[in-house]
Formats: sequence, C-alpha cells, structure tokens
Amino acid sequence: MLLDMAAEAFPNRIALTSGSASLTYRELQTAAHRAAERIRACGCRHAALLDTNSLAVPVLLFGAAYAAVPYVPLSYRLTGRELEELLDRLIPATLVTTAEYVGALRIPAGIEAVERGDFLANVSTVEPVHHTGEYPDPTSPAIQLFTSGTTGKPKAAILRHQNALSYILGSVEFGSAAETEATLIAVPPYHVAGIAAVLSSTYAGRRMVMLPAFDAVQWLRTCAAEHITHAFVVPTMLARIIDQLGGEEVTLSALRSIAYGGGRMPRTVIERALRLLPAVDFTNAYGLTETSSTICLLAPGEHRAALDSQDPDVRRRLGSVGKPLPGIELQVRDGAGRELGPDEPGVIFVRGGQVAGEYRDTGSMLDVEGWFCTRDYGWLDREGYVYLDGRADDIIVRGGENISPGEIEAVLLAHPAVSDAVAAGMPSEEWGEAVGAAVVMKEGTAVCAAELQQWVRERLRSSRVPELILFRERLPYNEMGKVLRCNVRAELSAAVCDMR
Amino acid sequence: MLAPTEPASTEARLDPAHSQGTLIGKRYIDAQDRVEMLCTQGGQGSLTFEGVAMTVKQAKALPSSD
Repeated sequence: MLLDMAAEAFPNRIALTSGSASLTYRELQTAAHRAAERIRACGCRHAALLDTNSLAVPVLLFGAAYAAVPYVPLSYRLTGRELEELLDRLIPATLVTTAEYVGALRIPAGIEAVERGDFLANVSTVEPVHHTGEYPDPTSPAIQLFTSGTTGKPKAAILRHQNALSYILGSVEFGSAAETEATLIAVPPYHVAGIAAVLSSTYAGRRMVMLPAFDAVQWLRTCAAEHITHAFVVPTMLARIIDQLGGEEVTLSALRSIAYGGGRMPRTVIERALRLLPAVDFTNAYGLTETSSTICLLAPGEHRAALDSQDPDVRRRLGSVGKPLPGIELQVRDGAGRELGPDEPGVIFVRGGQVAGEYRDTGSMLDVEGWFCTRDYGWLDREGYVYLDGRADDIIVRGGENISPGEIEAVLLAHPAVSDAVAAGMPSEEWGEAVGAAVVMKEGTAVCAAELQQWVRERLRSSRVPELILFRERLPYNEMGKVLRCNVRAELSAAVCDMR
Repeated sequence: MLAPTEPASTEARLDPAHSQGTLIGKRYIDAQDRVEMLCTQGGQGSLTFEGVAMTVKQAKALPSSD
C-alpha cells in the first residue's frame, strides 16, 4: 500500500540509488511485483535476505508484502553455524544473497538461494505486471527479525502489516519530501531502523541511497556526492563520522537532518556533533524491534535548547530520548507493576498500534490491556521526557548490536584454565557500551588476558571479545547463588575510568 | 484499520455536489472527529459522513526519525 501510493503520486521520481544504479517509484513497484510472482511460484513461506544494502533490499521487502509472506533479513555478522540454524527455521524460503555470505554455508533443503545479481536481473523488466489490487491481510506478518535474547538463542520478533503501517501513518506525512531530498541508509538491512528507513522514505517520497557497509569516509563522500539531506546513524557511527570530519575535505552543505538511535549516545559525542554541524537538525529516536522502530523522540529544537541552556533540567535533556510519539502511551512501573511518578526509576512499558510485542515461538507478550514491557530501565522527568538507564536484564548493547553475556561466559568457561567467568557491559566512548569480563582461574594455572581474548575470538564474532578482562579470586554471588552482574559492571566501569 | 478489499466501481457518475476532489495521502475526518479516512488513491469525488463534508486533518509535523 505504501509503495502503491508513492508509485501513484510520483511514478517517475527516483526512489532509490545504489552505486550507479537507480529505480523510480514505478520501477520499484514493478520489480516488487515481479519478485512477488517469483516468491508465489516457488511456494516459499519466507522471503529472506542475507546481504548488505543494495537495490535488492526494498525490492524484496515490498515484494514479500505483495506475496503476503514475511520479509526476513538476516545478519551477515552471524557465524556460519548460527546462520544455518536460522535457515533451518525458515524452510521453505527464498534467500537473496551473495556468494561472499553463502559460499561456506550448508544451505538446507527447502531454502532456494538466489544471487542478488540474478534476482535483480529477473525482476527488472519493462513488461507490465498484473496487479491484483489486493493488499495483504493487515493482521498477517510483514517482517520477521531475529533478535538476541537473554539466553543467547535468537528470538524471531514478528511485526504485522498493521504494526508497521501504524508507525508509518502515525509518524510520516505522505509525500512530504521534496524531490531534491535524499536519505542515506547506512544501517544494515537486518536492523529495524534499516526497515523503518525504507518504509518511511517511500511514504515521504524521499530518495533512498543505499550504503553497502558503513565506513566514516565512505559515508561522508556519499553524503557529498549524492547531496544527502537526511541520515540515520547509530551512536558508534556518529562518533566515527565526527572524528573523521576534520580530516576529510567534503562538503555537507545539503545535509539537514541526522536521526540517531539504537544505543546509548555518549554526551561528549552528541555535544561535539551539535557544535561541528550547527546547520544540522539532530533527532534522537528511541525504539525497539518489537515496537516497529521509534517510540520516543527528542526533537532538533530540544537538542539546541539543551546545549545552550544554563538550566540543569534543560541541559540534561541531551541525555534524554525525548517524548513518546502521538500514537504511543508510555508508563514507568515498579517491580510490582505499579505506575511510578516523575523521577522514579523503573521498567518502561508502552502501548500503541505500532507495538507488536510478539515472537514467533512464544506468541504475543502484550498484557491483557495491550501493554508491552520493553525491559528497558528508566524514568520520566516532570516535563514528560523519558530517560533510559540500561536494560532491565543484562543485554550488552555494543554499537547498536545486542550481545547476550551468556554466550561469552559459556566460551570463557570452556577454557581449560578458567573456573568461573562473568561478562557484563562497561561504558565505552566508541561503542556506548563494550564487553568486559571478570574471570577466576583454576589453581596453579596462569593465562594472560590476550590469550583469553584470542580464545573468544576463535569461537564467537569479534564484537563478543571482551575488551577488558579482570582477574579475581572469586566472583560476587548473592545468597541464592545468582551472580551479581551489577557488581561486576561497577568494577569494570571503575577500571575503565582508571585507564582514562 | 480496515483494508480496502473491493475495487471501486467505474460505472458511477460524479455528483456535482461531491466533486471537490480527494487527495492521495491526505487524512479526512468528520466534523465530530469520530471517523478518520486515509486517501490511498486520489480522485475527483469528495467524502461526506452523515451528509456532512469531511475535512482534511492537519497532522502535527514530526521530525524525521529514520
């Protein structure tokens, strides 16, 4: 529906650009219909993607919607074994990918892997496509995203068409972008922000420019070459961009708006960004996969007011995620489920049409009144601004990537010299949060941190390698035998401060 | 939200009293704000609810968040 409206209102406008290739809205619509025909013909139940950003991303996203099967973008950062396990859960599916990612994979029977180039060649046609004029059932699943759970086993979050539509219709004005506007999509396609960017840009009529892999220099050069006006970044990307700003001879004269989210933004980074880019509007967007992206925003004017204010209450708003969107209700509750007042920290609950709060294996996690527990810890101030203070559980959010401490601990414990281990997040200028660990060695053994780091690197992705490892005689446990992760986190924070 | 299921009839004739036009992407509300409709395909006809013309709802502009 979103793409049909865009193709109806501005058929010849450029919808997206990737490298030297472009598609208009009409061409994107036709390609998506062709993709849908292929998906229907093979009887697939999922349209999966294992690839970086390219033209294929919006084509498959909308093609899956026309074919009424969920679009399932997979993370190319996963290990081969993790990917094989996820593919097993998607049978029967079509998988748009590139040799780089599937070359070493065992592709299970029932997964039809298609090279991105072949996929795009097959769907780009000038022949008219038969439009059925039908839309998928609004209650059917539109998107399935695997998120890292507390146990480390990825959960399949489901977003239904009505959730995604509710978000777009509630936050974007149709056709509000001028033809000269262009947004740079640099977050990976498997991140909910990448999906939201495709949907909202299409509805606004804003040209999407796909950046295959983030790199600060490439990001800046693409901004200049494509006259980028809008962009979304995670805090780690923004930190790297502003580090690079001094050294790069690029002009960002077209850039008007940067939205950021996906993790904790260090105050030093956003302050520097505001000062280095005085003509750019900054928007902090807080959201979750399960809420179809953004649920709260801190608007550009509020950023500038906080930067310049002498009032400490206004100044601290730079660390806030702003206020809920008009279609979102938000409450902070204590452990007993009671709603808390201003400045009282607790767990954040949200309700609204865009809040999906559902996993494929467990079903809906909404309570009877439709409230969803975000598992984020935080509070509201007297003016209604939302502040976050980490996860209610202990997921480490490193540069927008959710990391479960459990899997790192399991690998550390598998080392012959380690008798006990705990992993926890610690503050990081670069990543918002980074992985740290505390370990206890078996008696009579001696290993250095570098050896343990290498041990983890060989078994997990590089983002899981603890940047700091503390060696301890014992780890802190409560009387119930549960490790006190918060104590370890405090020790790691103190150690990081000492190192600075 | 309801999904449009049936294609519109092409046989109907436009009533001059309801020919102010309906614009794609605009939301229309009735005078008492009980019904809200989104126009997904524009046309010459205009919308009424209980005999009263529906008007364009002015949405509060939000900054781009993605």
